[in-house]
Amino acid sequence: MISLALRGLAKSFAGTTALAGIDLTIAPGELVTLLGPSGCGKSTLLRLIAGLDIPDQGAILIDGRDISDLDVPERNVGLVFQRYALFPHMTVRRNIGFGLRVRGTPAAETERRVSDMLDIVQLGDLGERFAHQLSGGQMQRVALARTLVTRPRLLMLDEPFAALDADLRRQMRSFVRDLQQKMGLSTIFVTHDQAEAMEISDRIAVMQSGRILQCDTPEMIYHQPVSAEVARMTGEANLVTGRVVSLGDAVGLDLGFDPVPLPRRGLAAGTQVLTLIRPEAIAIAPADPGDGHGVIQSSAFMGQSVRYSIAVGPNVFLVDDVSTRRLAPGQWVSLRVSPDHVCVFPPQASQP
Amino acid sequence: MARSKSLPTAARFYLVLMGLFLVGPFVPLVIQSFAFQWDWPNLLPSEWWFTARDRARLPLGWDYVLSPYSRLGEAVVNTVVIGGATTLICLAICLSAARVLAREQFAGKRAVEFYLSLPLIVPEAAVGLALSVIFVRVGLAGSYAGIIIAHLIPTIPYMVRLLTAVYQGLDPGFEEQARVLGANRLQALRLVTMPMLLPGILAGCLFTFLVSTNLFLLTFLLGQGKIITVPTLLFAKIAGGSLDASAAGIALVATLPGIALLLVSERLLDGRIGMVAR
Repeated sequence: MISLALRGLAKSFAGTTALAGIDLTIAPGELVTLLGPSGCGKSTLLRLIAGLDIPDQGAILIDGRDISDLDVPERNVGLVFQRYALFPHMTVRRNIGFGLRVRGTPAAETERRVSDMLDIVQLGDLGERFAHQLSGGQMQRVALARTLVTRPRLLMLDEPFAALDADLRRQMRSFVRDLQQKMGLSTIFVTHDQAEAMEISDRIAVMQSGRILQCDTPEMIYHQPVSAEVARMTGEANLVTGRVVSLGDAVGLDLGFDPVPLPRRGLAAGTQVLTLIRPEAIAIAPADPGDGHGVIQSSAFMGQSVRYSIAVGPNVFLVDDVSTRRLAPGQWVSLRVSPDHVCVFPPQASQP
Repeated sequence: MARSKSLPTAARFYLVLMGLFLVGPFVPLVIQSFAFQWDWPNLLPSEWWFTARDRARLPLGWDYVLSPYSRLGEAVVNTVVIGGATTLICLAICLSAARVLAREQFAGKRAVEFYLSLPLIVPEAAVGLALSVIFVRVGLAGSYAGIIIAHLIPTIPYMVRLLTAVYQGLDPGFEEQARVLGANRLQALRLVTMPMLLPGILAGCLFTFLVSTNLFLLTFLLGQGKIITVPTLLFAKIAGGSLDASAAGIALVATLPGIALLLVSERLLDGRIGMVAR
């Protein structure tokens, strides 16, 4: 198990900034996900760590030692590409054994380790197939096995499940997570799928335009994002501006329904603040016309819940209601939010 | 390609037409090579080579072609040696050039590409005459080296273009993946890039070899009569404008290396292409 530290990594291509000062630490055995839209620099970051591209600035340290001067093969980090890149002229066995072969591992040991790895990724009987005879999920397992068999110091996965259908993605996700925890591999996982990131990660680094906006546990990223961008990138978000009101000796937040008590954070009554409330944090109850806080505008059945958009004064709230009822558009409802579920951004960052 | 269902009539008609077009010209050549006298408007020779054999004082037709007088054996060896050497050198030059042209962007790339196709525009005779003047001075005229250098001029443009296209079709991700897995540059080239480029490389080599073995003017001008190849031998035979049985025989022999090579490479490529193409 190793630790990885990135210090001020910067990279630009032909004048376009791909990465602007990345600082990130990965603890031994930890899985950190880079989450962000395409073009945010996630893949570039992996390529810098692997040595495929050279950073303009900054240092990459593995267990405290700078590896910037090492050539790609000497770094011994595993990188599984988005497009598998299985060698089409080699069988599955030879693909998996490739990394051992080029290191001059004795043939008998290579055979043994390849067989073990085939069992681990549950492809025991497909060893003699070629890449074009495999399904997407099988190819992904081979790509993973080919990297793991070399016992890399660090595992990096670049959108590994992007080409798989939803069911297979879920399977592979938990498969990879189990394997990673069993082997205690320090791992960087890249995805633009926030649900995937939440499920698999110890910590998530949310990236945009070559910067890390926030790096924290999935829970903190989801419930306490540092900015509106992070909130939007990590799931459905109601980002609404509310007014701080005085509630006796405390303060509360007026969002168009009963004021939500806030822990005192130096917010003066009358301040306008930007607030995040996740759709499932809002409870609704049908009310008589004119009596509730808002009116349902539309609804959509999502399976596990019904998603309403509800107009409350000037704002429209998305609400996920977990119940078997389905309220009709035009229905008046009252809204309620528990204070734990309200995230208030500091006033200076209140511009959405 | 599975072609279990039968083709429509029109397609079959064109297939037959195509076959006739390709094979047709060979028929009179084969007949001519066995003829002693074949005058217009006879459909077949009035006298065959083997009936006239005993009367002639010199070897006729195939007897001549296969006798040492024809120098065909020497010409075939020269042709194959020059063709092989040209192909290998051409490949060595073009492989690295193609890699750069396909993967890198640099100032003057268009100019380099244009420069590389220039030999296709400049007439062979102009190149040959200019080269022979230079080569006589530097002592390369009439040597194998001189002819091989001359043969590189019309073959490099084709090879470079073909290999550039092949390199462009190869995802650089494969090589990067190999390097991340621990391969050094040489191992990545030998174990991953080369095998994946092999069909394209074979096609390029085949083409280069065929062009080289068919070049007459450059070989003639730079061989200075000291080095004969199958094309120069053939041209010497037919320079008078008439096609006799021995010339027809040499012409037929000249087509053999091409056909043999084509069959071999088809065999070689067959197994490979299926693997590489997904």
